[in-house]
Amino acid sequence: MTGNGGELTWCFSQVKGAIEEDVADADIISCVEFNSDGDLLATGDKGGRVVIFQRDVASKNSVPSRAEYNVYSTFQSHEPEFDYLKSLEIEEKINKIRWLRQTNRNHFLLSTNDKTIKLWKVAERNKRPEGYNLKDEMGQFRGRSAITSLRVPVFQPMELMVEASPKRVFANAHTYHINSISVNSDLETYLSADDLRINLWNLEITDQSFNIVDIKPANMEELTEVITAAEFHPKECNMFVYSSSKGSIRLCDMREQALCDKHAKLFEEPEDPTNRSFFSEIISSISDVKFSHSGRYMITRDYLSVKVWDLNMENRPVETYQVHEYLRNKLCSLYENDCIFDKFECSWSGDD
Amino acid sequence: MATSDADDSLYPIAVLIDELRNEDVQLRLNSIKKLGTIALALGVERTRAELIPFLTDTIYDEDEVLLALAEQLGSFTPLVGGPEHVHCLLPPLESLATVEETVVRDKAVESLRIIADQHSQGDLENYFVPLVKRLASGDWFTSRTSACGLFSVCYKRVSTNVKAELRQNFRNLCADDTPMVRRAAAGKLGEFAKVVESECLKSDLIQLFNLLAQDEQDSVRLLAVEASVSIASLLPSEDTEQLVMPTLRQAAEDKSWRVRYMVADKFTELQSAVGPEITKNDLVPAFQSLLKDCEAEVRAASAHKVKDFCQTLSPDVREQIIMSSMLPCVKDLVADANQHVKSALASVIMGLSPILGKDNTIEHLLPLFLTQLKDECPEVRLNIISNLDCVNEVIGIKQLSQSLLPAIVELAEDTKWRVRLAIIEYMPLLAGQLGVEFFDEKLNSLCMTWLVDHVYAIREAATLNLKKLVEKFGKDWAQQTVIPKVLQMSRDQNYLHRLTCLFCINLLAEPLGQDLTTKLMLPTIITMGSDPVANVRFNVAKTLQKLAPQLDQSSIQTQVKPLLEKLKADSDMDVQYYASEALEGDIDGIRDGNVEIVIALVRLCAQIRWLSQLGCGEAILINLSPGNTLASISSQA
Repeated sequence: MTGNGGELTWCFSQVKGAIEEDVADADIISCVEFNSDGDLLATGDKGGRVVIFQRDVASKNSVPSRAEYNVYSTFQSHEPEFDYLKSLEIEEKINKIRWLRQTNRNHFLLSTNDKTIKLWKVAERNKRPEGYNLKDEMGQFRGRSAITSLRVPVFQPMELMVEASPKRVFANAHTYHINSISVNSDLETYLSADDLRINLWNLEITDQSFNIVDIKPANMEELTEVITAAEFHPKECNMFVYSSSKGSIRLCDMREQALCDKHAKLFEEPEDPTNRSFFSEIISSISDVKFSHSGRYMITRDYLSVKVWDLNMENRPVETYQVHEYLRNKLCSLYENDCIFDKFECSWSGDD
Repeated sequence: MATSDADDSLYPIAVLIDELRNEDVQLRLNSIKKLGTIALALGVERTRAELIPFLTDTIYDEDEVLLALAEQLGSFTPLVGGPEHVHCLLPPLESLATVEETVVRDKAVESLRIIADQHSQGDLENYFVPLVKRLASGDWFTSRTSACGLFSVCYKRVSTNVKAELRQNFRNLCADDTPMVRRAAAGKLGEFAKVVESECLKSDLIQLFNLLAQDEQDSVRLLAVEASVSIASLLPSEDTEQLVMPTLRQAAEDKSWRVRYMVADKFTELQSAVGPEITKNDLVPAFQSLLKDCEAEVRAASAHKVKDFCQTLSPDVREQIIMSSMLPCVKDLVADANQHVKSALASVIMGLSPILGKDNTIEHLLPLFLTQLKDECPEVRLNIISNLDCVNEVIGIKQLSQSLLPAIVELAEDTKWRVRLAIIEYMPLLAGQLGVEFFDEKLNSLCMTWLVDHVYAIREAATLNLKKLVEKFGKDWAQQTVIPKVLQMSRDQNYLHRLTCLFCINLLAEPLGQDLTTKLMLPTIITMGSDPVANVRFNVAKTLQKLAPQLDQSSIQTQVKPLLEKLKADSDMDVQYYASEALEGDIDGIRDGNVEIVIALVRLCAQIRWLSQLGCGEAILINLSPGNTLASISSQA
């Protein structure tokens, strides 16, 4: 998260989960996502579980507003699998969660691991049917002859139960590891991106997906860049961006062609020659890209900075924020302990 | 009605009711499917008072249960007491129409549409229309999308004020925030247009149509194109020209290829809807630009429509338009870079020859056919070959046969087995069109080669192909050309080929009939009964079982049964199994066969007696020669 120095101070409102030193590997949180109105917070962990927190109603309305979240639902989203064809394990770690816009009293989210995306429905149930014909109040079976009339069950209120059920499974469409999913503003389709390809899905159809971007070279030895993140425009149903490991962002328009290999816009800042080093290319890799709510701007996160881009200007960002500039001198040791490859995310506040 | 002394009859119903809330979803589903039975047992009053409220609350269930429920409710009217009470079915259907699962919502809407007709006009205004309004102004977009489907069924029978309200509600849905709702509205615009009065159509609905056709979401705009077909077919030509065509012209040039694709896809329907004048002036240029579109998907969709479009043109201008406007575009498409476009064109291009007639076909179309026949993409070549009959009628196949043969041979030897499979499936059709001499000369050896292809699917298709050819060309042809080669395979070194021989015999027995089967094929089968490979031996048993109806009794007793007995004592387990199966089957088969004859004869005698009682003196002669099957005897009786 960025701070712009001076006025804003950040502090923890709540801490969920374990703070002690040795945490089980499976409990490490791998992704976090609020839903569109902030009432629900979903977290995915390395063990394939999703935990959803719900905002406490009182805390939302209090002045000054606090945010207090309580556990709402927990479920196992993905299980570890084995790919027999390639003799590889498929981790159950949740890479991304995205909420769908709320359609009725139930909530829907998409969660994905490296290979499979699942659509989950989180529903509340507060009534249950009462009244049996064949059993009496104690649950004992009555004899056939005891049935003199028919009884229709009636729904009675019960305590709130939250159930999560998988509604769709979108599998077998990605050869490489899925790194992003993004739901379209038309609320009907979504995209999923792996290192070299982006596929377009319809939420209702699980056995077909369209490939809209394919940057795999004919000869794999010529591979120089991979896709690191992708997102749909929040308002235009036909535009999406994807970022690459070389520090460029491409905007594509699906109206032009069925296969969007040709970008409509390319956002790239020419490199500052004074900062050039052996590690320049590695740290320029963009790890996350997010559109603003208005759709006019987007922010990208590379290793050391966050950049704000105006969609109308391709040759440089409008704002750049150095997040941890002090690390620039330590790139060598970071490279040695592999921390230079860490991925960071970025996010806009609700009011952009 | 349930009565208190009918204890036993209540029990199954009690079970069904309890299963409505069983843990196991299959049991719940089963009960829901028998909802009618439950309702009958409860009687109409209890159904209305107790069952329907229970069903209204059951929205937590699995989607398949809800789907079944939505379907059942559509036919529940008699079970709640007939049309005066049909409105009490509305609450459960209303809650089903708000569920997020699309198939359930759609089924609920379907059921609502069915019962709408059963409402009286009063009930329609008092119950149905308020439901529609509630759904249309619901908080969740699921209810608003469902509402879109309900306007057309209630509009006609309500009063003028209510009609105005309904139109207003529909207008709001067309301008809804959510794309899903606008899509649903666009999808239903066409059918709504069919029920509104024509002044309202021109004043209100055209506005809505234009609004949707300029929506920011591609998915809404392309549904508006579909609506345009319905609207255009309702308006007279001048109105269409003024009110619909501007929007349509824009759609054909829309920035999004998906919208242009939709226009191409609906082109022939558009053509019928707008009429010949507008077609000539507007649609022909539009079609040309779609055929030249930059996106291959659009070109392919347009290519598919070429034949139908040309055929539907009015006869006086047809030839001229095709020759001057369509043909140049078609020529370009033949050389298109994208194989799907070429393939789509190939599937329809032959259909142009009857329209253009012999001379034009020879001069202009024939070169195109020949080019596509030599295309590098196998699908293109296949599509040409499969449509030869149109050309045959116009210019005769001889012109093509020179190029046809190499093309067929090349496809038959393609490295991809699915391509080989496709050409085999066209072989009977081709054989019929090319005639038996051409076939024997050029294609016969090909059919034999397929029988020993290394892919099983090809061998299987080849045997089926042989059967169809024998049915087409007759027994004598089979005896001379096919049978010797098939029987020769029985001595092949490769056991798979010997198996193929047996499979051929399986299929050929029927068209060849008892005589030839017994004389020509049975000896070979018997010989293969001593084959060294077990697979061949047990397939012999299976073949004998299958062939039993085609063989005469004496052969069965003297040759078949002894062999099967021998195989029953074989060293291999599978051979033993199939041999004993065959022996039991044989006996039953014969017994059944005899029984059938007896029954048919008894029926016959009864009919003769009856006829003679009526005074019909003519004797009915029945042909009982061996060639007649039982079916033909029964039908003669």
